Formats: sequence, structure tokens, C-alpha cells
Amino acid sequence: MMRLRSSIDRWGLVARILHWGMFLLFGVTVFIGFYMVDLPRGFAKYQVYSRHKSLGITLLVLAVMRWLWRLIDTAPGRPVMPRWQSIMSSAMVAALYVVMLVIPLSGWLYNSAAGFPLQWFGYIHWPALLDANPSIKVIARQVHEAAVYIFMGLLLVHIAAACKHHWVDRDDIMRRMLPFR
Amino acid sequence: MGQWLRRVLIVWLSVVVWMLPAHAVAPLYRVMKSQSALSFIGLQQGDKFTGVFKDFDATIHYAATDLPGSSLDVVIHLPSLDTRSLERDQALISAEWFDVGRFPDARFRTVAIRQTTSGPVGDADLTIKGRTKRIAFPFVWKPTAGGATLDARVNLNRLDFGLGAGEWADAGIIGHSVEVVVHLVLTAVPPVAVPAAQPTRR
Repeated sequence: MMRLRSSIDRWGLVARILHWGMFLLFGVTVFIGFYMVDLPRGFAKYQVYSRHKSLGITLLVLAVMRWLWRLIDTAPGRPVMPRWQSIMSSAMVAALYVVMLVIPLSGWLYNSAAGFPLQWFGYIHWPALLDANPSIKVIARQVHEAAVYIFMGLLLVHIAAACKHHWVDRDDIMRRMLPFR
Repeated sequence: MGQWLRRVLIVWLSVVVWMLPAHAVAPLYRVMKSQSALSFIGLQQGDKFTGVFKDFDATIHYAATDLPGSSLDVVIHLPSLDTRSLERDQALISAEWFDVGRFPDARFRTVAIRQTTSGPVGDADLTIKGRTKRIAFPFVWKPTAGGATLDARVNLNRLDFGLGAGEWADAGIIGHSVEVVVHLVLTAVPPVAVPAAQPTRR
């Protein structure tokens, strides 16, 4: 039986869907982000930017849901591991949770400061955080970019750690987050 | 009075009336640029945005009692547009929109001003991007000490002027209707200064 909530030895369905769904969505959105900046100015660029922003808003909503779910849900217990690993693990999770919010938030701020409207896939009007503001625009863009690089770095360590647990320590850390057993 | 004499009189009067505007010119006004604004409100992805043309020249002759001698002539320098977004401004001056490289100026010129029950209305030729369209331009003229104010709001269809044609024609992304808001603060120019009546182009 599929369990929505996490159990002591397995992440629940909600946590797994959020984890893998956001992984795929982040991948697509970041790829579009790197691809779109060098496009020649014109309608195609505008459309690609709009898609990127809509995906970003989706990720922001998912990130907020994930935060809330993490507060409601009980995470599976950790296997016995050295203290430094336990601390690193908590720090990594905290960093990932912060960055997954900072990336879409800074994008939203950047778009607002640039004086651009935002519409979720052309359907839902998304408000601006503030009026057009050239200096905040520069900062928001830098944060947006830097956060993506930090995120990719964290992700590499996260994946490496999961692989290490699976193939070296041979515990179930990775398996309990896999979409299927 | 005989039928013949009456006809001659009507023709003569018509000729006189027809010739009057060619000679009579209403008083000249100069725009106080720091207090005036030529702005427009567009719709982008459901959000309103406001732009201004910071640089324009206007030659305004107006007297409520001499509409045939009145005229509004405005040359708008399009590269001066500002919509509070660098990206949007860069797009708007590009070939798909105003194409300021080929068409740096827009021009608004009344061919006639008529009185209606709701105030004066100019019939004007508006030329943007090399395309001229006759538009109705209702406005409010308020005399002030030493001058007047002119206020108007008029809706234009951007596609009439080839602004954002092709892929950009999608109204869901950029609305077709653009509201132009004119607020001019004018000072009366003494008659001796009339030689400056020609619109100054730069």
C-alpha cells in the first residue's frame, strides 16, 4: 500500500513525489535558464523566458509545499553514523531547503525589479514583489545566478553521498527515497 | 431677393468661410515640458504598464472661438520612450515595434478641430512607423492664468501602425489597445513670437 506519510524506514508518497518531481522540474528550468540568456532578442526569447518564469513559480509553490510537508511529516530515522556525518547531513538538507526557496524567490524579485509582468503559463496573474528598481534588479540577478551554482554544487555532494550510502555503506538511505522499491 | 442673387450670395459666403482658416491663426502656445507628459498605458500579459515619451515638440494654436484657426501639431521623438523596464524599452525601439532606426519620429497633426456637445474634437493624422491613420482626438482645454492645459485620452490599436506585428500580434501577450494619455501645460506665446510657429524638428 502506498503511504502518503513517511514511515520509520521509508519516505512517504508525498515526500517522494515532491523530491523527484522537483528534481526533474529544476533540471528542465535550470537548463532553459542557461539556454535562454543567449537567445537573440525577439518573440522566441520572450516566450522561452515566460516558460522559465512559469516553471520557476511552479517550483516556488512546490518548495513551499515541501517545507510545510516536512514540518507535518516525520522523516525516516537515520541509521547509525558518525556524529560529523549526522551534522553534515542535517546541514546539507537545511542548505538544500533554503536554496530551493532562494532560487525562485530571487527570480521573482529579479522579474519584479525589472518591471516585467508575470503570468503563470498565461493563466494566472502573479503579482510583482516591488516596483521597477534598477539596483535591486542587479542584486537579484546575481543572487539568482549564484544560488543556482550553489544549488548544483550541493546537488553533486547530495548525489555523491547517496551513492556512497548505497554502494559503500550498503544502507537503505537511497532506497527509501527511490520512486519504486 | 431673386433666386439668382441668393445663389451668388451663398457661394460668395461659402468661399469667404472656406478661405478664413487659411488666413486666421489662433494664438500660439508653448509646452511647459517639465509639467507636461505624453504617456501611454499598455497591457503586457494581463499587467498594465505605463510608458512616457520624454522628448516631443508641440506647436499649438488654439482659441475656442476660432476652431478653424486652431491646430495641434506634435512631433514625438520615439527613442526617448521609457516604460520603466530596460528590456521592454530595448524591445520597443527594435524593428518589430517602433523601429526607431528607420522611424525616429511619430507625428500627430490635426486637419480640423470641431466643437461637439462634449467638447472640442480634433480630427488628426497620426503617423507612426510610416503609417498614417486618421483618428478622432477629443480633448479638454482649460484656460489658466497665462496659458492653458490640454488633457486627452485616446485609445489606439497598435496593429494599425504595425507595432508588434507577426508573432507579437497575440493580444494575450501584449494587448492590442493602447491608451495614450496626454497632459500638456501650456503658456501663451505673445503674438510677436509667431515666427516660431513651424514645428521644430531635430
